[in-house]
Amino acid sequence: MSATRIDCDICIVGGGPAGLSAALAAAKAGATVHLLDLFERPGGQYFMQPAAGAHGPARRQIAAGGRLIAAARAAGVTVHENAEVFGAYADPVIYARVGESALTLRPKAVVIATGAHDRVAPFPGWTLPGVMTPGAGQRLAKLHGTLPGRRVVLAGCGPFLMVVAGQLRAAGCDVLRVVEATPSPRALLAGIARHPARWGEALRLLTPVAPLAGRFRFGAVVTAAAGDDHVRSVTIARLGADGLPDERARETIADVDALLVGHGFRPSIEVPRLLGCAIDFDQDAGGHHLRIDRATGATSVPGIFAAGEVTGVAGARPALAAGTIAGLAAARHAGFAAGKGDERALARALDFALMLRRAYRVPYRALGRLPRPETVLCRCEEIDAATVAAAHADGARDAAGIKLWTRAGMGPCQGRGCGFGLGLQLAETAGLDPAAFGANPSRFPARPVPLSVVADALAAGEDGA
Amino acid sequence: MGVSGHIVVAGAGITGAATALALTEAGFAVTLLDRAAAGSAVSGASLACLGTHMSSEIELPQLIWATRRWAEWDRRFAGAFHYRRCGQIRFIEHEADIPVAEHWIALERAAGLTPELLTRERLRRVEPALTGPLVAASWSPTDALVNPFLAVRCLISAAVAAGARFRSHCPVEAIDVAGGRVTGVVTPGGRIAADAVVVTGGPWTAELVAPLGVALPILPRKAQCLATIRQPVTIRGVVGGCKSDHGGVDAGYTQIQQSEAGQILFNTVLAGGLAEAGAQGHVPEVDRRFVLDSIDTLTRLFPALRAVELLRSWVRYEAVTPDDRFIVGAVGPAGLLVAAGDNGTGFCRAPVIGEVIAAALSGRPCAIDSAPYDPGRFPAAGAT
Repeated sequence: MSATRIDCDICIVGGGPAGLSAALAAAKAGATVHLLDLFERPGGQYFMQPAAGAHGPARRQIAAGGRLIAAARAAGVTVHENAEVFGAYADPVIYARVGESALTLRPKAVVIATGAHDRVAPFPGWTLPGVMTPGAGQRLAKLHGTLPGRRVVLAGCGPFLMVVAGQLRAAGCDVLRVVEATPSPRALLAGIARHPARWGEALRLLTPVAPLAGRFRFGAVVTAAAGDDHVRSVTIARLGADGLPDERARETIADVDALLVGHGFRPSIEVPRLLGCAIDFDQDAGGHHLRIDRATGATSVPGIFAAGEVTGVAGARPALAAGTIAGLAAARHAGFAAGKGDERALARALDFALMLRRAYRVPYRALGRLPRPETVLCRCEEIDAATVAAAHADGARDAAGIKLWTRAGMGPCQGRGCGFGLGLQLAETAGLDPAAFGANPSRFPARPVPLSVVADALAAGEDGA
Repeated sequence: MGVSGHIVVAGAGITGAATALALTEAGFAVTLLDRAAAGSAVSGASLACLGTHMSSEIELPQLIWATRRWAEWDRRFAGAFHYRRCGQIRFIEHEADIPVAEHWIALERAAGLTPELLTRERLRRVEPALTGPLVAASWSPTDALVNPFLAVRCLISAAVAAGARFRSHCPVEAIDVAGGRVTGVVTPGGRIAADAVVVTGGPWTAELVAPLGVALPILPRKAQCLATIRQPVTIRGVVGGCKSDHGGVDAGYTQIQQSEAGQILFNTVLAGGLAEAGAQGHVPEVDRRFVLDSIDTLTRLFPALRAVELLRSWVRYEAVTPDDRFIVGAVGPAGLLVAAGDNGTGFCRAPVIGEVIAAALSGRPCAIDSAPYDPGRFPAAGAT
């Protein structure tokens, strides 16, 4: 048996901006804080820490993240790397796997800062090698110095595309096209103009992509990728006034060796759902996200707090401010005298995030129309659109019904990858409401984990263990 | 009874699906409703074993009838629900349990079935990966598995093709009665007139008929299960525990099998799990004690599976009656029937339930003896 049991004040799940700031704030208030992070080094997608340290196009961000991690450690936070949280009960108790060992935490309060994952929608050719998410492409470049390809097309929706475009260009990729679904950058530029405090940041974002200006295609979507054993060409189409791709306004981009496509992020709600935390649905905030009290980060479950993208996708700045608020509230819950954090700073950061959200228009209708009958919607179980349509014709009307009758969402990812696309396709082809369509509810374990580790972790968590 | 006209079947699990099909084929106009997705309650959590072995002495004739009907459906629907006659093992960990197994084998053989007692050597050939410390096992080669989701879908589709209507996410909120007769059901989408209502609502059944003065002794009980990620073919048939008077795992319930998709499905229930009335409305996370017991049993019997990854758990509520048998038939006001009380082994019995209800509403003789399911055995149920 190989299990470590830790009784502590506060457990933070996730080591991105929200989790790190929550950990720092709680530790400064005097609490013993343990932070669990999935990766080799904390930082999350935003503060990702390459082994080589802070250089390259993202060096400012890497350095800022490094300082936050160092501050948290200096304040006494224990960071557990490579810790995959697979279970959580409202005792509260958190179960994680670290390699082949079990790690069980019995804290007084929990801060959920699990972040978000890339939001993808299926289209013909999306399962070809060389097609990946912008987040995955950025991870390759930032962490490993590997280019996702030499001749790259970036597509989707949101400011993150520009960030990745600039970084990939700086890393030496030939960025052939940046295909942004939003009709024009006017709303974005006008929004930035209203926030002078963010002009410096905007300039740092826009400068690296300025040389790519001629390669942007606004108001368009990728309708297909093609290639034999690898993506070779990408077809894009302009969006018509009805929000659907105009097949007459098509362009095919040849000699492509990587297509990075994503439409924002989905909050990673699996672990807090195990705890029973209530969720809300807002497609523009990533879909299902945790419901919290913004003043404290409190979820619907006593002792469970949350901050960052898992409470609705808004970016790193609000996550940092909300993390501090949630960390302090968790410390107060654990019995420490702690302040309340700067709610006005959070409000300002959220204000800017909301402007960004409104400046972009995710082409939900178009995405729901892209799959052809033979297009795979669920990659784990290889379920195509025709199979899903047949289940709908037989009376399946929600995520649970589609899953039971087709196996879509029953594989290792448990619907994390395919849920967005399934919902869009059924909204568009069958008129189902994406909110009512629902999500595949997460159940223990939140991710696949060896039986021996499950048994060790649960045994270690028992009272008197 | 001899009713004609429109019948609402409330609850689209396997019992409701089989009932809707039987009624449609008997010539009734049928509307099948479910509060959520079809088969999304305990039917979708079922391990869907169609077996006669070590199940119920009283119901053996009904189980034989049911398993034959399932085999007929498999041929009729061209394999739509992936029927597999994989056989069932009941493992024996103590010498003292061998006579228990022999008792069941004798009475099943007397009914024309072919179970037998396996030595450890024969067991190794039947189920090679079952290498745990066993003294023997019983073996029923005719027991089968189906895909529970597709079985529900297939029967509903067949009913719809024969003229039935099906609506999911349409809960029956109340049953209307006028002049001592059922006249329809109330749903959020409006009232649906009916000449008869059959409640096939599992653990929701009792609270739906309670306002009509019908007190059914049905309580919800947790039905929990675990699944690993898909594996190469490791387990060939259904593996269960022999009935036993011993404590520990022998006093509880174990079922282990591999799905056609390769996932290993397993559960070991030692504690009762009986819940308060109404508990079925909220699906909780799986019990940790149950997870530990289930992993312990699985890895003791199949030691090679210890490193396999757990993928998912699920919890639903089965409907439990005091004598472990369904309650099927007319209760309370004229035109009201119930068919509930799966006791965790309802899947196999669904064709029997459909036949009993169809015969009762048609006023024709039933092809099987319905006495074990008679609501009259519980006087407060107000059998009519």
